[in-house]
Amino acid sequence: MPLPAIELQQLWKSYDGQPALQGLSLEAYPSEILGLIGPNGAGKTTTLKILVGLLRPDYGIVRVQGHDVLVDPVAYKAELGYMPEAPTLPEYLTPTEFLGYVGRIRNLPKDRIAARTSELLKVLDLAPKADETIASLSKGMKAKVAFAAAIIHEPSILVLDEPLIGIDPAGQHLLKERLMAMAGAGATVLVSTHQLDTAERLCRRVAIVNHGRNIATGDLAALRTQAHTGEEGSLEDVFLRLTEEADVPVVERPRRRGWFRRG
Amino acid sequence: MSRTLTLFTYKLRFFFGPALRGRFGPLAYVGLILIFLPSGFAFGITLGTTVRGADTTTAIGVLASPLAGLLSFGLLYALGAGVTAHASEFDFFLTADVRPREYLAADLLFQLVSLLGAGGLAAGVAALGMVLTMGRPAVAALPLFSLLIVYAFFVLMTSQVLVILRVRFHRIPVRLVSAALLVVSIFPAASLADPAFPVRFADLPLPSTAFAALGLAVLRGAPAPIFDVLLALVYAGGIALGWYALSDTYIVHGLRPTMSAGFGQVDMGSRMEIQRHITARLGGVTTRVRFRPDRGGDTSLMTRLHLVRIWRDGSILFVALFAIIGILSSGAGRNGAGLAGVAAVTQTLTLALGILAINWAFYERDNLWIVLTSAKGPAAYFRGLMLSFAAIGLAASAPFFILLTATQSLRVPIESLAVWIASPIAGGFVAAALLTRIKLKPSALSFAALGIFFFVSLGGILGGLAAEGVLLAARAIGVLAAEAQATILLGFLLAFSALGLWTVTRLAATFRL
Repeated sequence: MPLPAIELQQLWKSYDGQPALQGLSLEAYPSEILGLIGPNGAGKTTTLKILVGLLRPDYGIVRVQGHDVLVDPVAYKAELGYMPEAPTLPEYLTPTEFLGYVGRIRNLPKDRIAARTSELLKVLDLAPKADETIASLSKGMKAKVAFAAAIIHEPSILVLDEPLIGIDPAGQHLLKERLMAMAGAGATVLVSTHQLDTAERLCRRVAIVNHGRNIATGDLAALRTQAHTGEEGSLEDVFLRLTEEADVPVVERPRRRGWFRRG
Repeated sequence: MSRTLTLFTYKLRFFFGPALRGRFGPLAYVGLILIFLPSGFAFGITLGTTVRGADTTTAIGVLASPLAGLLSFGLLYALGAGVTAHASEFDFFLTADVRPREYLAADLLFQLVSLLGAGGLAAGVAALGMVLTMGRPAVAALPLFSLLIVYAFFVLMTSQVLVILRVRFHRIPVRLVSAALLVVSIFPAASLADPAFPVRFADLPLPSTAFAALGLAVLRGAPAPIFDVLLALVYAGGIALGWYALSDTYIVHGLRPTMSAGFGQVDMGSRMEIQRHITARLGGVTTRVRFRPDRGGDTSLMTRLHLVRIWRDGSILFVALFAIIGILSSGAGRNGAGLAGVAAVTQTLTLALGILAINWAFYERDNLWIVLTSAKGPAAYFRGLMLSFAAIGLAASAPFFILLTATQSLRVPIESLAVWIASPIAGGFVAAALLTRIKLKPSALSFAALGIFFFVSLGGILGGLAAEGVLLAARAIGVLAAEAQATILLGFLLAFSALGLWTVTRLAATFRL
């Protein structure tokens, strides 16, 4: 078993006293697509935002490729690509300009920016809109632009929050192919989704999150066993069974030590 | 009638409720109204003083101008929305069997009450200032104020009638007619600026002229001229009859949700949608100026990004408007007044920088996820923000100096140059520094928003004064040669910019989205 590319241990996070994460732990490995599924408010987006450094946990450990991201919260991002749920984009730029801008921020060599941007726009069927402002694009096209921005620097870790929302079936197929190709090339892909059939087909393993905890992780066979749904049980059956069974946890929150405490 | 009242109270609650239930209750709202009382009173005294020494024709012109301005706003409003509808009203009220007249009457009442709520008190003290200046008893302000209310009602009704006509008779160019009426109503105001202008308010039977003549009669304690009484009755009565005849026309399909937020609130969704619309519409023109991400260093990249943003999202039009207001208010072009205008131009543009900073906090801040999830950090982004604001301030005030030297063959003194250059740098610095720390809630009345506006403007002014002070200090210690003073100024500006960039870099290091 290789070392995990992403390792989350005992993550705790609350907003104004309302717990969002209650001891969530998770591991994702190179060359795999790990799906993160769960009901609304389960803590998926909070988990992803902590992983990409947009939120700080109240407690817990976050390691990316072996580095504690709470100790060095910047360097690991060089290997990270991120697509948020409902990404806000600079509407005043064209897709070409935006991807070039992200390329610069992501330290892509200047002489590669034009070629890489052009390649992504072509692959994602955005070339005809390359020189119009993002404001004039459809929702699906904007999602594709955000996806292109997440992969422009060919990251080895890709974090996607509901990446397929608003994208047409052909576009979804395109994105899924791309994700599988990246995983095949050794990247780790962590994708949060509500589309269980997509998760079932796309992800090698799935983590089911409920009430801020990871209640089950594994491939479909392992989850079926855990949920006792039999060999014919779909991921939807598994998901419904496990989330129904999982009560609101009665857990004691770790005490804070300083700003936040590490394990 | 009962449904009209229900709709009216819904509108009132929707619009004023958030401000009254806010953290400080009605205090912010009351404070905002009170702010305008002194200026309202001063405006009344100014009008009264002008009217007191003027002949009848000029006095009518002076009084008719603000009334014509009010009518112009009404006509402009009719060109756009004309009816204050909220999206929830479309979903739940306009899909019910509410008669158009019931809804339009509620809207008319709401608009009148809102107008009086926002500016009624200031208008009342303006009327008081006018009658006192004219040597009339304070009670004479009441008929004057009543005339104003009738006129406001006339304007709002006109606006609604034009909207009904536009929706009902879409083949008739109602917008063109509205625009023509707007021009006609405001056109004679030019005679106030240039007495030789051939068209004056008193010469035309405009509604503003009729109401101004009645107001002048009140101010002078003279009987009202019969012709103007009849004219005002024809206008007010005619539009009321027209409104009654047309107001049951079904126009729901032609209305658009225009009221997006309550008083003092900012509806981010709607505002973003409007911003998106502007950017998309301007895209065909604005994308001709390209953003080249593959060139320059990081700070240069970010500076250009912000400049492109301000260029493409339409903010540049707003900056240009401020620059024009600043230049006009400075008195540029009039003999001898130009140099004194430096302060006016600088102050106006620092206000514009304050608003640009608030604009960034509302509409651009969320885009920082792109930078924050990279390994570079946001330092260059904020340095670019500071430099872009400085560049905009400099560029926007440059026409003033060009105008000054071109029209008056003046040699701009170095103190003026110091203020011109240092103010936008200081404004940009304060803006970028504050924006690394302040996150705005979508409320135009929030202290954070007002704080950004105030401190960016103040910082800009103080920066300009500091540069001027350095020059004065240099002179005081005997540095008199122009070259030496220019060197000192350059040194100060470079050191000040470097300090600003360093501070912003430090503050940005701990920025949180």
